[in-house]
Amino acid sequence: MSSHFALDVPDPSDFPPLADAPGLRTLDSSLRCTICGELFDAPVTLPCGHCFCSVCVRAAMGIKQECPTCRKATLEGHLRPNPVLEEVVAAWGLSRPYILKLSTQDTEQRHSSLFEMNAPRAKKRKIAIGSGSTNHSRSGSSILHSPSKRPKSTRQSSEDLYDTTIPTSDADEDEMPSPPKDPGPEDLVTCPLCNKHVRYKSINQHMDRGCKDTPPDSTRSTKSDWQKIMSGNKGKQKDTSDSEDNFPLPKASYATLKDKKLKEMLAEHGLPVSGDRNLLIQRHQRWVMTYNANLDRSQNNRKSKQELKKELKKWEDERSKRKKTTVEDTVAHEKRHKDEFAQLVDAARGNRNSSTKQSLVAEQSNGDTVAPASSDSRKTPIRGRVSRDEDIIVLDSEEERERGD
Amino acid sequence: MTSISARRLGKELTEIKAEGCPVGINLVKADDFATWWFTIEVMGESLYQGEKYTLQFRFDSNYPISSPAVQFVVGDGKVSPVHPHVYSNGHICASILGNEWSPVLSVIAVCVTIQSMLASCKKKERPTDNDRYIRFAPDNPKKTRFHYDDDTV
Repeated sequence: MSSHFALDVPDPSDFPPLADAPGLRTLDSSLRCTICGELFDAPVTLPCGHCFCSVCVRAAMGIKQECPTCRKATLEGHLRPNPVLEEVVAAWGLSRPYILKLSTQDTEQRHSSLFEMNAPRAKKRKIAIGSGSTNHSRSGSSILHSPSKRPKSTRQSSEDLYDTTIPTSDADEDEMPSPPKDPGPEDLVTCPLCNKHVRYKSINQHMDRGCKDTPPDSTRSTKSDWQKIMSGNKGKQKDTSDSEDNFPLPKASYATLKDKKLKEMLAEHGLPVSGDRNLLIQRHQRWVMTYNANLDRSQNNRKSKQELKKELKKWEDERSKRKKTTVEDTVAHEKRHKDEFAQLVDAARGNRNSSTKQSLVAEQSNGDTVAPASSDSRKTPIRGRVSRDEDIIVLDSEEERERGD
Repeated sequence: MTSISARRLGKELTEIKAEGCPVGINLVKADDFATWWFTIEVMGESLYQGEKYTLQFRFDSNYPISSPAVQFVVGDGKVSPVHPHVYSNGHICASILGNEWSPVLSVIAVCVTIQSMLASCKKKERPTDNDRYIRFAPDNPKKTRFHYDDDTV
């Protein structure tokens, strides 16, 4: 049992409870995806406002196209990356170990200061006043004595933490000239995204382009633009490879695809074409999912295709490992579990004998023909198996509805 | 790197250990990330007062994207509660275990749902098709395609 608990999974409960560290647990848990429980990775927002990791919600939508939290119908195309949250999570990820350290230190000090409460009060007061804030354990105990002081002291410490960052951002704001009137179309304005100077009339186009290139000047003729597109292979190649990287891959309807086409599609992305059809489909599906999720990361957080391929391989290895555990040395397996098998067979036979009478009656009255699910259904692996008819029993309970009222 | 399902279950387990289960629900065993057992009691006034049932969760590698296989443990002195949505072999007909499953749900959330399903029961009886179902029921309740047409019980 304990071996699994030793597994290191960072969790909101790492932080002390509400009473000791207000807000920290909530902060940590609210920056986590409710599907995987990890800090948001490439967070995306749904139209309903709920946020998930891109990969998680894409996987969930592969099964049901709705918001996992509020069940509002949502399509994958509705997902929008949330770069602000991504930044917040990145910062929290960086500061988390540090804050965790601080908070555990703090609780330890509190506990030790609780012991000191037993000491004569006057003595402690004296020390607390005398040594001031340099002595942490003493100041901690003084906080305990006068709760009204606590908020003040925490604010102080947080100011200390952000001492270097806050004033500079303030200064920026002060320096920013408040625009008295709208600039003219030819006036240069600062792009709010990249801080480049751009003509006011073309600022929108510039931002639409993601500040990547200088906006097409009026000096450059449209004719030359067209020439560039129509003639040169050189320019075109560069253009498409650039933009292709920013577009999500389309999903395929695998049922209509032949194996050959499937392999072509994998080869197109430089992925291996080994394995059976099922594996090929899963590989392509997973690739499309992780590739598109990667696009939901902000530009500089994106992983290279090579990294994505490595992750895909790891994912595949893990899956095959799990499958292999069921496929062992069959002879040895049979020997080892002989008793168990015999027991199961006996149980199944007994079951059938006792129920034959009932079943005859039931089947006559119901007119239903349901083939008995033989015990071999247990041996066949669940995964990747097309469920057979006898496993599916449709149940009607209209009578229940009447009675339920 | 451990798989997503193991990490997610690890988190759920840590939370259970740290904050405890809701009233009436107790963790019996969670030795691995494949099968967990809980006991369920209905608190307060209900038809199941003073009765204790064991609930089994089985997880596959796709959890939490795919739902866990949840059923009451039957045998070894354990029985499934007599309830219009619970078969005598322990299988439960509840929409959130089937097509209404959502990956944001958790083991504890399922326990609470089943607890309240028992609590709101008005008449102790088996589903009408109990005999027919249990004779041919698959080992895994997830292979059964239930019809959910009754939200009141």
